[in-house]
This record gives sequence, structure tokens and C-alpha cells, in this order.
Amino acid sequence: MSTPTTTQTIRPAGAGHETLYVLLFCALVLLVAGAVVSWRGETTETSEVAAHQFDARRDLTAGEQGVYADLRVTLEEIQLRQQEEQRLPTPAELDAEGYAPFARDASAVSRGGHTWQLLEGGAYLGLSQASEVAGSFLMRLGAQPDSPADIWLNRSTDLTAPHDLSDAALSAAGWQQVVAQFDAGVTRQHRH
Amino acid sequence: MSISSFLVNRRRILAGVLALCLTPLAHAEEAKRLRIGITLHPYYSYVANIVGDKAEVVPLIPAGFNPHAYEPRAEDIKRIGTLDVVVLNGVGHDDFADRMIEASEKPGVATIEANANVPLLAATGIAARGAGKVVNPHTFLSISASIAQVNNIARELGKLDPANAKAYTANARAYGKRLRQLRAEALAKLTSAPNADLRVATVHAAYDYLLREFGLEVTAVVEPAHGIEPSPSQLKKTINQLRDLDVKVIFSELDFPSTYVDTIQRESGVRLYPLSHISYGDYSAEKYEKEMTSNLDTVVRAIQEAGA
Repeated sequence: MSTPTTTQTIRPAGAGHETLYVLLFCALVLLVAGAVVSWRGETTETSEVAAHQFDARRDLTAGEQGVYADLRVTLEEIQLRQQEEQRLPTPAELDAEGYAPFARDASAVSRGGHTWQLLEGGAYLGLSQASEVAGSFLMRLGAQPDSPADIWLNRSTDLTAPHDLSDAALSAAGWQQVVAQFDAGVTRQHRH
Repeated sequence: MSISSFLVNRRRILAGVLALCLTPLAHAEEAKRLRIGITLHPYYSYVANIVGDKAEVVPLIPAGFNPHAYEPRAEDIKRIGTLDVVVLNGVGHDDFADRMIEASEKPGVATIEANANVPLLAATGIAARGAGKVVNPHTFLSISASIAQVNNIARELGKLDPANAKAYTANARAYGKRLRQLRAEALAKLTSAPNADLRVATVHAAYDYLLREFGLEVTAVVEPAHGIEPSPSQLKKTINQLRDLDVKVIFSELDFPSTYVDTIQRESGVRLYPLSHISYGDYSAEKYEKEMTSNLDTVVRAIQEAGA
């Protein structure tokens, strides 16, 4: 007597669905994480300067950065003098009182040895003796002590004093405006 | 003494004591001196010289703490509640101040961004992350950037305290003149400009602003971050780099000496010159001028001995 054999196929409990579910779950986690990152993330865009401008931090040589920083500091003193005396101090006066970059010291020599002159129309022009170290600088001041001033740079070797001090004329003559950006506390959390 | 007369007497005594207590308060109200918080030693000197005796300068962190590794303490946070304004470096050297102000009794206390008008240099080494947006915060180790900050602080303080605004501007100009004089005296000792080939390195990435005033550029920085010693493999790499770049001079830290710096000197043959980070010791009005004089002298000596 033979016992009837019965064959029963037993499918795995999940019937292969576990893999699918795990993969789906992984996809879900990735989606959620991606959504959170794109929602909370900060863009790393840096503000670009215009074509006729130089960024003081990235586009200047070490010598130029030094001269530019000094010009900005001396500008404040020049504006105070302009207020008090109703005239602009000459480069010779600034040199005598030790105001960099007008002062002719060892540092001025190693940073391009600029020769400074005061132009008609209220601008200081510093022609560089070594353009590969630092280009020539032009600092424009307004007629009034509180009018905005700016600083321009030109790395050409054979430069003469510009007659027209307007933006367009300076750009055409190869001058580029130097701009400094203040990124306060990139490393700190803003309270504002 | 009857009970009623005792009570009357007691009232009189109480009234007298109260009056005594209130008198100084009334005086304080009449001539209210600003209480100005500062975070780092150079800023103490700046503000003390700007305000003279017309305001009080209060360090946020007590003398003796290294600002690179400072963690705010409860009593320091409490002190912020008594301040009228806080002067900040704001570009990475006093990030702890924001958290302290936020946790204090006066989270809305006025702040002055000392570096708002200073052309900043990009950070170097490990700090140079974030698409060049991270800057070198050591603007206080330069004469030019210091004068710019002093002028800026004086202008902002004048807005908060208009009665003394003129005095602040005058003091700031006089202080700026003295600082300029320090640099002029140091530069006058140089008979010629630094050799264009003179390559220098620093142990800590703090002196770019200072060296730029002499027209020198920093070629290499040894420490990965302040106070963190390089690993032996990093040290070997640095020594090779110094040899390859033909670095002649290395500026080390005066207040944080490390023995590995001697190894660098022995292996690469460079000359060592210690500079002060001006962040050590007691707060004083003269500290900045004193330590900067010695820093300027050290750089001049390095340039002279390098055969410039």
C-alpha cells in the first residue's frame, strides 16, 4: 500500500517582496533626505563683480592689496581735511606726514614705487614703476567731502594722467574699478 | 524708648539708608557712561583709546583665555546684560560672541562690526573653505586695517553717544596718528626695500595683513589650525615644501611656543622669528601699541638679516 504523495510548494513568506520593500524604503529615505537638503541647503554662489571691476580680495596682487587697503584708510583722513580746509592735501603733504601709500618708505618701494600726483577734478593718481608687482592706482574723490569716492586700477605700463575722469572714459582707457565685499560672519550664525 | 518712637526712628533710618542707596543711581543717570563690550585684546586697546574716560570698556572674556578655544561661561554671559554696545571683530575671530549675546539678558544689544570698512584677505590653509568666502579674521595685526577699524568704531560709537561724538573722532585720529608713526619708525630702519625674492612662511595663518604692509607675501602656513600641531607626515610635507619654495624666514608664535617648530628649523635651516598674536595677558590701553612695536621690529629684523 502506497501512501499517496502530495507535493506542496511553499512560497517564501514574502514571496520576494521583501527586496522590493527594502528598495522602496531606501528610495523613500533618499527622496526625503534629498528634499530636506534642497530645502535647507545654502547655495554657495559668490557675488560676481562686473566686467569693469576687480574684486579686492581675489583679483589683486599682494602689493596691490596693500596699496588699496592703505588708500582706503588715508581716504578717510583726506575727507576730514577736505571738510576742515576746503581743499585736498597734496601728495607731498601726505608723504611728509607719513600717510601710506603716499609716504616714500621701503614698503612703498617694494609695492611698486608709485609716484603720486593730484589731478584737476579731485583725484589722486599713482603711477607704478613696476606693473608686475602692482598696477597704477587712481582714487577719485567728489567735490564735497561726503560725496562717494572710489579707487581704480590699471596694469598697463605706458600710462599717462587721464583727462576725463568719468566711468566710461576710464573704462575705455583700460582702468578697472576695485570693489571690496564685506562677508560678515560666514563662519557664524546670523542673528538677523 | 516707647514702641511708637522706636518705629518712627526705624522709619527714619530706613529712609536715610534708601536715600543713600539711591544717590549714586541718580548721579549715574545724569552722566551715563556707555559700557562697551569687547571680545579681543586689540579691541580693548582701540576702544580704550577712542573713549578715554568718557566710557567704560568691558572685556567679554576674562584675561587668560585663548580666544581660539574659548567656550562661553555663565558669568561671562551674565555680564552682557549690563552692556550698551558690543564691538565685534565679526569676521571669524569672535564667533563665540554671537552665541553669548543670544543667550544673554540683552539679546538685542547694539553691536559694531569693526571690520565693515576693511578690505579683507581670503583665509588660507584649512580655513579656506566655502568658495573663498571665508576671510582671514586677523585684521587687528595690521596698522592700516587697525586704523580703519578705529575710525569705524569711533564713528559708530558717536552715533550711539552723540554728546561725545566729537571727542571720539578726535581721539581716534590721534590714536591713528600714533599707530602710523609706529609703522613709519619701523620702516625707517630699513635702508632698502625687502628683497623681491624673500620668501616667508608663518606657523599660524595670522600675519598676512601685517606682512603685506611690508610688501611681503606669505608662501606657506605650517599649522592646520591655530594651536593644532601638524602630524609627523604633515610636518615632513611642510619641511619639503619650505625647501622646495626656498623659504628663508618663518614667523612663529611668541605666546604659544611649540617644540615641533624647532624641528622645522633644524631640518629646513630657516630662521625663526616669533610674533605676538596680541591675545595673551591682561587687557590694557597700551597693549596694542607695545606689542605691535615689537612685531614691526621683528619683521624689520627678519628682512635685514635675510640680506634685503
